[in-house]
Amino acid sequence: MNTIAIEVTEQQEKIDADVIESWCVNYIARTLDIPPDEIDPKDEFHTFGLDSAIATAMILDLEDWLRIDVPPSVIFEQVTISNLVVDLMIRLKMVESGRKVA
Amino acid sequence: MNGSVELEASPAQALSAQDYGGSAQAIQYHYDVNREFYRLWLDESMTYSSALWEKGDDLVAAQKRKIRYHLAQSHADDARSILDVGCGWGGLIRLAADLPSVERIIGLTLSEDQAAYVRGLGLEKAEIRLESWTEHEPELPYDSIVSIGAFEHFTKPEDSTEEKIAVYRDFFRRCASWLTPDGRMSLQTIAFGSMKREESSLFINNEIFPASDLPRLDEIAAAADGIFEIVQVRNDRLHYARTFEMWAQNLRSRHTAAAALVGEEVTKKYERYLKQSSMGFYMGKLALYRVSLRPISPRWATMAAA
Repeated sequence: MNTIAIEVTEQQEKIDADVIESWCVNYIARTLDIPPDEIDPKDEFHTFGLDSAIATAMILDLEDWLRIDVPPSVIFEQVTISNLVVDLMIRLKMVESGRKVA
Repeated sequence: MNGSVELEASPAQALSAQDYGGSAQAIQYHYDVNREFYRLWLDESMTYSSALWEKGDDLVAAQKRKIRYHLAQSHADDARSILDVGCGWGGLIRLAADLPSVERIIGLTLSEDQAAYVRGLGLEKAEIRLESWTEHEPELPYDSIVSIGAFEHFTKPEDSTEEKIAVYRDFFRRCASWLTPDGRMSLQTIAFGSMKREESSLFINNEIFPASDLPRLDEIAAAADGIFEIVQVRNDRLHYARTFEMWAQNLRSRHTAAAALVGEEVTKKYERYLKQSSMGFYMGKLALYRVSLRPISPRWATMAAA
């Protein structure tokens, strides 16, 4: 698992891949009312029974939390939580380097 | 809408008579939010319907490509007169006005803001009417009819399938009667894809597009049967997924300016609607049909013409 931590908020909260992954697992578990340990980050999103409204709410919350753009197409290209997390980490790093340059 | 309807009918009847074929109130609820708000996330032509993307296109180019597609499908290059049912902020009318053969373009809208805006463009060939297709009475026949993103507003969620088909059929019958025998029509509409009507999002139905219901492809075909020949149907849902995605990205990047115009709550509501719609098109729950139509004529030579 990727261990690079990135500071994304004023609160100096450390956000790494593990944190995002468990956020996604818990989000889906809570929304669908199933135990988190039944959610395998390597399973494809559609197997959990997510619909477009829940998937939208999840990426909107990810955007608010991580302060990055998460276009809907991402979850059709990165179809598992694990793959999504890799993509989000890349987006975070790009934004972070942009902020440093700025 | 003239006042006699209200005098002669009960309030409920008057309301349903006014709403037939598209509720002006419902249209104004959505489109008269604030023009400057839409300007923040639409392209410069203010085109608020699916683009037609090709490699390397930005939103402006893809919207222009979509408009040119409908002008070509409706044979507007050879047309003298064009009708645009649901003209929005005039994206199509502006490009049609540049066609040398075109003498007259009539645009219909139920949005006061859209009518005022397009009239303000000062296009000499164009006349914008704040009226429904159900009230329209053309002075002369049209060579081309285009309707983009209006069909979605013609029926209501409480209508039965038979009632929906009857409204669409009424629309097609009128359009066919307004066209010259060699005229052509191009239609673009969102429709239900893999999603059932009962699975419609309450959020979209109540908060975003009240009193509007989507067609299904079989309803469009049933409504056109015997009136229009269906020349071509494209389902460009992925084009709309990408268009909605682009709009969502634009709105998010201008969130602060948007919230200053319409408030935080409306801005959030639109961010959610734009993203959720994009998802629906990616998943195939929603379809985006571009339908090319030609009127059925009893005249052999007319039917045999390309």
